[in-house]
Amino acid sequence: MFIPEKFSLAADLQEVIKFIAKLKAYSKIPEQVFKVNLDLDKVEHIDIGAISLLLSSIKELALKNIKVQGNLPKHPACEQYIIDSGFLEHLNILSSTVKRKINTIENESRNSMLMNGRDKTDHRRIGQCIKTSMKKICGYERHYQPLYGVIGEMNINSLEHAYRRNKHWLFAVNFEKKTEKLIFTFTDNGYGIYTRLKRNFGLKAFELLGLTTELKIVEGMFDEKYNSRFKKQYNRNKGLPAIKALQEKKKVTNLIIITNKVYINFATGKKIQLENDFSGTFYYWELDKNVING
Amino acid sequence: MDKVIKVLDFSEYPGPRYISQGLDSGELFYEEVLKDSFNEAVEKKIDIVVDLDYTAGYSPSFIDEVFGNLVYDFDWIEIENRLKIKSDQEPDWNQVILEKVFPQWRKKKNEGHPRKPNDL
Repeated sequence: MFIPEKFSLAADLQEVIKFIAKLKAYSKIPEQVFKVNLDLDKVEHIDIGAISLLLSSIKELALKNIKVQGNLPKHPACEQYIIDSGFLEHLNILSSTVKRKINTIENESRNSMLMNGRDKTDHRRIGQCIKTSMKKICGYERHYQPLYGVIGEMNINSLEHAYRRNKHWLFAVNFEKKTEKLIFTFTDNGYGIYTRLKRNFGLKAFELLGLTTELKIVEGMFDEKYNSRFKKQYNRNKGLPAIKALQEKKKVTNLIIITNKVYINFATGKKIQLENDFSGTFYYWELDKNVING
Repeated sequence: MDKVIKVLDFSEYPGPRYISQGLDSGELFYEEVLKDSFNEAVEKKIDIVVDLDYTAGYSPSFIDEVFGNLVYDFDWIEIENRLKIKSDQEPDWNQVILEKVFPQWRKKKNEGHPRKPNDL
């Protein structure tokens, strides 16, 4: 499979989602596919959001015993970016050239942290990861309470609402040296918010509330619109509104969610109905020194 | 003298809502720490302070499960009179617990719903 030239959410969101949808589709036919070869040769734009989506899809394929191998982009900056991201270390098969390149990076200068899990939350590891990452922008290790709580909620949602079996989530932190920002992503490869709601309640229930598009239904979840109407457990559904509040209270910047055919940037208010379905939920946000001190 | 419970003594990394979801859950904290301590406070007729500071933080589900369960086990007047929450690092929790968690759990209890959904 050829990875698109603009493999970046910022540069070509629709193309990235189209590619990811195509790649994830192999997990539905594991008896026909044993190995996928990812050709990154022509990649000229890349970002951590696209890399996280790719890595999460690879983990999904791995659950079906499908191996993935790949090469490096020819574009020097993209090649370095992908090495620094730690992405290659999660491929099943690496050439000796790629292995040599990875091994030349000193542990201290690595700018990424990745972790994945399955059927349990891992608050402890996530908390330690945040604490360690904060050193990159604050100069010392420290907790960042607002973020820890919300990532924990993403983690809980990934287990409670995303799957029945083959539970899988991926959390990544990347330090972008140029902008001195920490970039975080959290991904699960479950049903996605809209598909889950549709399965649980049916579309009629949402139509009665005047919510007729996928975008409006997903947005409603982040506005705490449904809990009392759809459940007798009035205390539930605090997670998604808490995630949105993280941006509203300016505890992070550039918070984005992609789920099913919905893209929302909570920072800018930009909303896009995607052409292809991303079966799962993906969060992206940034953090810098100004936000911490703000 | 008030009884003080520091969540940090339970865990630096408070976890998910339920024991089945992962380590150091809200359900575990309630069952192993808060329930007995609150009981003791009621018997001794003293106040109880739950100190939320200096942990890594809290997911809303953890907070909801910890404080919401009190509603099912104790009279509301005891909760209202004896419970104090200390949260200097994240002051919003005070408001969330008083204005959201308690009213929602009281409504749930008053309508006869179980404290925990049957499928969990």
